[in-house]
Amino acid sequence: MPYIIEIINRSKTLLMYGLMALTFLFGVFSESSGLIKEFMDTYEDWIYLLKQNTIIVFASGLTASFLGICAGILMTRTWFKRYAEAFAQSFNILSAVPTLAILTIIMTLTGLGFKSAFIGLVTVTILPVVRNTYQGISEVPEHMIEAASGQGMTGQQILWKVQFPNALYVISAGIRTGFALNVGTSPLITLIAADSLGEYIFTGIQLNDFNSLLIGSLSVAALAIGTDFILSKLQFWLLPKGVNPQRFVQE
Amino acid sequence: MIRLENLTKHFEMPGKEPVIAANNVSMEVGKGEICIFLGPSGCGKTTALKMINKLIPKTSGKIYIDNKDTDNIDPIALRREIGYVIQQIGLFPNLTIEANICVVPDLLKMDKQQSRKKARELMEMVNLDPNIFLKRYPRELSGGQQQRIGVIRALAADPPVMLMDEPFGAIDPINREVIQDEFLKMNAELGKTVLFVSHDIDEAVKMGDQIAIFREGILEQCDTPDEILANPANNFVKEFVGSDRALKRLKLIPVSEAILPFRMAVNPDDPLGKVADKMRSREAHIAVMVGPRGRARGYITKEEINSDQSGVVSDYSDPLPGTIHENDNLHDAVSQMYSHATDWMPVVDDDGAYKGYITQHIIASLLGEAPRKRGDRIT
Repeated sequence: MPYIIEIINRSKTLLMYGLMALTFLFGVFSESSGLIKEFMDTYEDWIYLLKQNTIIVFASGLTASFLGICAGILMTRTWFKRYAEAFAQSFNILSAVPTLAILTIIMTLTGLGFKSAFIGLVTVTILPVVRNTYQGISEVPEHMIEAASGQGMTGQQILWKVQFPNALYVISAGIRTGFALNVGTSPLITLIAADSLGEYIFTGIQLNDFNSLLIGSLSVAALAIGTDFILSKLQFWLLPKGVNPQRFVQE
Repeated sequence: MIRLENLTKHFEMPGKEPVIAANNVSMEVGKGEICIFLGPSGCGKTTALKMINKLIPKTSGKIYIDNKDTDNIDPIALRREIGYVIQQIGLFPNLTIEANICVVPDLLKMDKQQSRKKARELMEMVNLDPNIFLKRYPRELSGGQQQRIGVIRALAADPPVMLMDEPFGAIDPINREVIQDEFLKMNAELGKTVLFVSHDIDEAVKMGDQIAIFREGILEQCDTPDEILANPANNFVKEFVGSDRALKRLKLIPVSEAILPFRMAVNPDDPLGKVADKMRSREAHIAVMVGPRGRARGYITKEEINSDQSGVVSDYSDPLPGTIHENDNLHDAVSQMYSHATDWMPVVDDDGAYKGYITQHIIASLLGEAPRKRGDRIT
């Protein structure tokens, strides 16, 4: 056993060296291929696009999370139960439609620009949130509900004091998945004339400009990692300790 | 305190005959009593329990709590006045232990400080240190600790009635005994009226002032444990309580009730002749030698005296086969007798003073008698 740990520890060090070497090589490569020069030339564009991209990602993501949680809760209500299946199916069908198609359809309805892009991203993000909210709430064990109603909680109290808090971790996982999809889709909104880092990518494709393409995709990748990092920290610190598996280990 | 009148429940099954989970159940449980609903699974005992706090709506019949018809009470308000404990415990993982205990007080908008203080007191009653546990979360506690919290949570708003649905069923046997004892001790102090579902006859005999035995929705017999063990109403009850029901009754009878009416205490320096006379007059086989402070020191048998009547008691006394406390039950006593391979045992009190002795013969004749009310003495 200590032997294996030793190997893992060593491989960690090796990995660090490897990463450092890669970073160095990347620097050499970007200098020689003019990547850095191009980046400096379009720096102001980059800042603007990054800002726009971040704004639309968070605006649509938060809206979708809110709507998704509401829809998910709705689906668990007893009076809604008989429509829940149809409701869930329609969300599933929606998720089967390619993102590009969704964007195009919305564009035909609401025109070009920010509004369509916003609606498109909301549609993409909302699916995992709804699914996880519905599942998270339905999977709160029956005996917990029995204990709650046996102690005299009303339906609303059971929802907000028992079911929702205990589904929070699953819901937050859905939100993280939604945001990942959202960031991944965000370059596409350039195609319907909304500002995003996709502009670098599509310009790069059309002009066969490898550096532009690289700047765009690396920035989107960084944005995706950054977003998920922020969300994971929020998840860690905002969720109550009793329902947060990430914090169980600490005890 | 709680009165059920012709309580009936039919579960409608589409396309089939309705299942009758409770069929004209009528019974009454007095204030401060523990009544056990006992029966095999599917006998309707849990259904009967859940109809009382309206978790399952009844088909017909009446339920009175404190002479108030529960039909006229709002289910939410009713449940807040009834403590409820379930087998799966059902603590809320998102809340601390303190918040879990105070759920009902908070629902009733009771004073927070007061309810937190009460939570501490209750934790101490079940031997959990409030300073350690109040701020923890349910998953950080063991199963037995969680169920203790489950029980005191039901007591937090001080309800007069408690419903317990196989509360100790999922706890390992050793812990179960401890929790049962704790609960009995606690309820002796609090005096709640408790309805308790169980499928374990031993638990029922131990915990219950009254046992209600159900079969297929019908209340077969409702009586004291002693009565049920001694006089099962029918074959079902007889089979359910088990062929060793006479042995189970042993647990219900304290040693003090079986002590022979004569102590047969003799002093170490009594002459054997005098002792022999005393034994003959009582038809006793054994005399116990008692020291100056009333402690049993040894014993002497009739046979030994018969062979030689010239000495004093201390010359012939044998070491005692062990002692048994007067508050222990006969089950413990018999067990001790068998482990010491003897057919009698001296009884002592808290100070170790000799009180008299019990024999296997008297125990056997006790069990053969008709059931006795508690507190009866043999004279």
